[in-house]
Order: sequence, then C-alpha cells, then structure tokens
Amino acid sequence: MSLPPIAQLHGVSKNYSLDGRIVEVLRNVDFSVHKGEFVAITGKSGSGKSTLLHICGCLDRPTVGKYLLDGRDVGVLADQQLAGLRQNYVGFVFQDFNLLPYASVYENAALPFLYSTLEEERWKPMVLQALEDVGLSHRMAHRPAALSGGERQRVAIARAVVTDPKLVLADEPTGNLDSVTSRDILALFSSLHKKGATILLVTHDRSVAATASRTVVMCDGTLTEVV
Amino acid sequence: MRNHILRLEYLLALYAIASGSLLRHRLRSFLSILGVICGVAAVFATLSIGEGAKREVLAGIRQLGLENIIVRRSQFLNTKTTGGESARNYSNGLQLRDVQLLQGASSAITDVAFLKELQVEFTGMTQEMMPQVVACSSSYFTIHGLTVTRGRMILERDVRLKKKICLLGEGVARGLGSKGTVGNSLRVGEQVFLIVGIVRSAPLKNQESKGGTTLAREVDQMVFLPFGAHDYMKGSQGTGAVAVLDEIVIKLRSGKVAEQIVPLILRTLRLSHNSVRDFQLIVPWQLMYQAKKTQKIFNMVLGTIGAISLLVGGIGIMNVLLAVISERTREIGIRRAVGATRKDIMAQFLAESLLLTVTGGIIGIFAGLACSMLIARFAGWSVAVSLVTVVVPLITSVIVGICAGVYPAVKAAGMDPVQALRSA
Repeated sequence: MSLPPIAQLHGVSKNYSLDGRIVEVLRNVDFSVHKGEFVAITGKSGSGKSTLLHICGCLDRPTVGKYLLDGRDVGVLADQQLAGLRQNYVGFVFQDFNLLPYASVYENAALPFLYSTLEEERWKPMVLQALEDVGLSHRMAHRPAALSGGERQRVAIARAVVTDPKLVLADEPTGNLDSVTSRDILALFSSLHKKGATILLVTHDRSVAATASRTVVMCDGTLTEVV
Repeated sequence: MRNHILRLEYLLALYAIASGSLLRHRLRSFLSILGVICGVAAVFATLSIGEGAKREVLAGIRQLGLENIIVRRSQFLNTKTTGGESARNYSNGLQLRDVQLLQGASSAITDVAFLKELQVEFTGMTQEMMPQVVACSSSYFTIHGLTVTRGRMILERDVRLKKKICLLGEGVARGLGSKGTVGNSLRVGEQVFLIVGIVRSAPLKNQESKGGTTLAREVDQMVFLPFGAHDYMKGSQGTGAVAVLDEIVIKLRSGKVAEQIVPLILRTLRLSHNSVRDFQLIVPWQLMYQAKKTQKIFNMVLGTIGAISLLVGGIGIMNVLLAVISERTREIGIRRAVGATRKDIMAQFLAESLLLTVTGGIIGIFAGLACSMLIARFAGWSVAVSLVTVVVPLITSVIVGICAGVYPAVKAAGMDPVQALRSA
C-alpha cells in the first residue's frame, strides 16, 4: 500500500506573457509525490522543470489546474497562507545556494523561524540539530563567504530541513559544485531520504537523477516519461 | 493566522537586520540622513529660539498682570485742538481725580493703584546702579503681586500719614550693602527715609529675562515711597488734585473683561482730560493675545521651512531605499521562499527607513541644540528647550521615515518571489 501523496498536480498548466506573446511552460501536467519518496525531475534547460518546482513550493500558482499540498488546494489560499505553507511544509535548496551573505551560518539556517511564532528556546535545538546533520556544527559563526561551495550548499540544506518540512525541493543542487562535492551533497540527500524526508529534485544531469528512487522526465512542459 | 509581527523577538530581529544593513554602508547611510539631520536641526533650533522669544515676551506681559490695565502718562497723542501747547491747557495729565473716577467706573474694576516717578539724585551711587524712586499707593504692591523678602509693605496708613519710610528693590539693597537693610535710613535727595522692607524681585525677571520688557518696571532697581511722602522733597508737585501721576494701574475682575472695559476707561479719561490723549493704555491681556497670534504665524513659517527641509531629506531616504531594494532583490526572494509574507518584507524596509530617519532625527536634535546654544551665546538671544522642541522634530522624523519608506517597502513587498530569486 503506497503512502498518501504530499504533492498532487491535476491538469496543471502555466503560461507566461512574453513581449505580448503567451508562452506555455507547463501543459496539462498530472503528477504526484508521495510521502517518503525521492523523486527526480530531469529534462533539458527550459523544459519547465523549475516552474514545476516553484509551483510545488508555493512560490508560483498554476494558470490552469489544481495543486494540492498535503491535501490543501493551494490555488485558493491567500498570500499569507501561502507564506505559512512555504515556512512549515516546504524547504528549498537552490543551485546557487541563496544564502544571506551578511548572516552567519547559524542565522542562515535559522531564517525560517524569524517568521514563525515558535519561541527561540524551542527552535534553537532544531537549528543546532540541522547543522549537525549537515556536518557544520563547527562553522556556525562563519559567514557564507568563508565557506566552500559544498559547505554553502550544506547550509542551504540545513535551512531547508530545519523546520522538518513535508516536502524538500531542490533545484539543480549540484549545478555549481565539482563532481566530488556533488557526490557528497547527493549522499546527504540520500541520507535525508533514509531518515524519512520527501524530496523532489530537479536536475538536467541524469547521473544525479539516478540517486532518486523515481525519475520523471520533462520535455516541453509535459511529463513525457516516467521511469 | 500568524501574528509573529507583534513579537518582541521579531521586532528585535527587524532592528538587527535594519541596523546591520545600514552599518554595512555607513557613508551611504550617513549621506542619506544628512537632509533629515539638517531639517530636524533647523526645526529644533527655530522652535527653541521661537519658544525662548515667546517665553520672554509672555513673561514680561505676565509681569504686568494679565488682569490689569495700565494707564501711563505720555506725550500728546491727539487732540481736538490744534498744537501741543493749546492742548496742554485743556489737560493736566493723569491725576488723583482720574483714580477716583476710574474706581467708580465699573463693577468689573476691583482696585486702582497709582504711582509717581520722582527725579532724585543719589549720592555715592554709580550711574549703572542709580535706582528709580517712585511714590505709590499701598495697593500698587498687591495689584502687582509684589512681596517683601524682609520687613513689611507700604500700608494705607503710611500713605495717609505721609510717613517718611521707603522700600528697596533687592538690587538696590544689595548695592547699598550693610546700609541697605531694614531699620537703616536712606537719604533720598535732601530727605532721610527709614527702610522698612526689601521688595522681592519678580522671579520671571530673574530667571527668564536679562533686560525684561520695556513695559514692565525693574522692581529690582526701585525705591518705593508712600504716595504723599514725596511732598517733603524739594520741587515736588504735591499730592493735591493737581498732582501729575505717571501711572495708574486698574485691576479687573478678570483679564477677559478687558475688551469691554477698555472703551469705558477711554471714555472716562477723555472726558476728564478734555479729549486730550495725553496717556497711553497698556492691556496685558490683549498684548498676550497678540503675542500668541504672532507666535502662531511665526511657528507656521518655521514649520513650513522645516517641513520643506524634511521633505527633501525624505526624498533622499526614499532614493537610497529604492537603491537598497534593487541591490537586495534576491534577498527578498530568499526571505519569501522561507516563509516571509509581503507584510514581513514591508516591515523590514519600513524598519530601515524608520531607523534612518530616527537616527537622523536624534543627531538633528543634538545638532539643533548645539546651534541653539551657539546662537544663545553669540547673539544673546533667549533660547528655550522644552519637551515640545524635542518631541515635535522627533515625531516629524518618524513621520518622514514612514512616508519615505512606504513606497519602497510596498515595491519590495510586491515583488514576485520567483523573479526576485532569479535576479542577479
């Protein structure tokens, strides 16, 4: 018996207006990610992978269709409710890390809690644990500029999982890393998956996609292949 | 519903983010608040100078007594006859008869006092210390609220019996040293008067005004004789009906009735003086009303100048904030991705704007204070720092901060998170 779906897209299309022209990025996508799954979306650049990820992460809304996150219809939610979902249900890992350059490793990892009602004495142990899980307990006071690319991505992963989200979204997480560091980062994702995290990873690299338990191929805005 | 915005922890974090952001670009932050500093300093300095001037004027007016109307002897102001000489024939100036007429003129008049200035030479005193000698009624002291530090006042009995006594102003007593104490004698002209009291200087004069107003008398430098006692002196005009007075003080039930009483006094005196205007009326209540009105206009002008300065400062801050938002677009995207709402982004940039202007406001207040002190020192103007002079510029800087920050904050909050994350 499969576990319940965390993310469900039903007939999702996404259009953009570019110089007065409508560009269809996603076309009638039906897709689900179940609890505890590690799914990779692969495909060429411009195929719509990141757009799909942004919709899954409540950063964007579908033009047509329905997106359910943990059973809640995201399309009908207000901005504040969406922000609440991004904070508690979703964790993002980006290709270029997206850390605050002037904040320390600890402050970057604790960033989601700035916008929560949780007391510091409750979230502080969670931040320390997340940093320990990614192996950066000894560099908490450092700024991102003092870290290597792999370490920066580890901070980003710590920030993504610190709230114990239902879905971890990674957009080309190894895109800016060398092959050795990439392997370490992928191992970290595998480790998180083994601990029960649900991961949706976007990559154009099939070898990276191979780390996932399920791979979906996206081509011209449609999911054309499921392996 | 999330309500983290009202949490102290969140507010402290906002302050830390804002201060960190501004400290990273110290020079830019300082240059951006320069306009606010100048504006607030200008508002502060002008308010404190205005307040000082107002206090000085009002102190002088209050010293005259807001419930009093003062009639002073003056040059001929107008006359129904032609030429000063012919007018003089029709009026003998202010006399005791006028005092009697005014006492019965209206029930709103509760008391009338009078005074005559005497031209007396003092021996053994410097020109700067030369006191003014006056002969006055006993009520002169009660009407002006004057009290003694030592001894007693001039009483009705002293006036009636023309006692050869005198009261000294504190300055005169000080100048005379051991001779200026109660029980000693004072030689005034060729006569000797017994010192029976020392008149307390009006506190407002000492604390708030060096020179005082020209309308109020320098009690400090005066010698008071009972009206009538000056008859003993050579060349006196006597106390009979023809005695020319220098001042009549009319005490009213309330300063508010002054407007209705003034025409009555004018009518009474015109009849008594054969329509010769050889006196002037000083109505402190009217003077105060005028002073306040003038002050209001003055404040409006100053306020406008300050507002223009602050507007320019506010535009400078808005400009800098727009540049900051442009630089930190990606940060906005990151914060939105981890759960910040539009309100959070707005709050963050409003906090930066407020911090800039409030810092500018506080520096501006100190700069204004320094300017005021320099002006007070070198120009000799009266400067008063009150809660208003501090709070008004500070509140104004907060308002400027909010106004200047709203547009950039709304712009930042309205950014699409995906586009913000993709920015360079």
